[in-house]
Amino acid sequence: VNPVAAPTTVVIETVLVVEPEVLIRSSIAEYLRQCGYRVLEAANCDEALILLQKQDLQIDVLLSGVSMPGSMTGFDLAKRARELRPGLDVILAGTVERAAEAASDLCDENPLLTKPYDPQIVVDRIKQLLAARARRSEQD
Amino acid sequence: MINVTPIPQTAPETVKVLIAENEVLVRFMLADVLRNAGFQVFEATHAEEAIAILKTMQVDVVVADLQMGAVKDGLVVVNFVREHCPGTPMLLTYVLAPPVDRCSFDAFFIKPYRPEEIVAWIKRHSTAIASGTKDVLP
Repeated sequence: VNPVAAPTTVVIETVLVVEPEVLIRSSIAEYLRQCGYRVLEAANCDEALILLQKQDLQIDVLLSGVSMPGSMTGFDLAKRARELRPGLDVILAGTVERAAEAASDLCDENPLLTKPYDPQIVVDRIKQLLAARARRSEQD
Repeated sequence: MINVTPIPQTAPETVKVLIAENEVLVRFMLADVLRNAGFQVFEATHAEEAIAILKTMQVDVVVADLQMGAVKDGLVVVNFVREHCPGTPMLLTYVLAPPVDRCSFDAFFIKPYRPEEIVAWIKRHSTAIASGTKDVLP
């Protein structure tokens, strides 16, 4: 009897990239897509919040710059995002100077990615966060 | 200083579509459907971003909303494409019937349109798009 392989469900994690510079946004978004992630793009915090408020939209990780155009910073966006989606993984990217402003409880670990960043470092960070989330789920 | 990582290039046969649309949910839904159809999609939130992308890479199709914000800056994209990317199909979207000269676009979609209509248009013209012979488009 030939064993029939059980159907496998492929889970594609979704990353919301918030970045005002279009060429940076496009390049990191494409890099993440080629690494297998589904990527949503937002040019500013307002666009990001519209997507985050759409609760039927799966978003696993928020990747945002710290300095953003408009009244909200990346920190503000991260706090609002966590209110809307508790447990959301957040990666912020900014200059070294802004690291001091990072709230220690904002991100799970290594609260700030220093700009300019290597896209592979972003992927590594995403993998770490999602692995930690998976471990937490198993413990629960 | 900000490092800009070169946008990764995919296989040459992948049709590259640039979307210029300021409404994030409209842009997201169109981009999602186009990507699921196998196209490589680049997103711009206004004309300036669209032109920045067009200056850095060659795309096969441009889909632009005629009015992004207060002015009809979709026409800025149209003019740039006509001048600098001749032969690139230009698809326009707008809430009303086309208020611009028919020769300035290759197809027009009145909002709200179904993203699948745009996928179907691109697939219908894929041969002409791949060969760069837009002039044969009906």
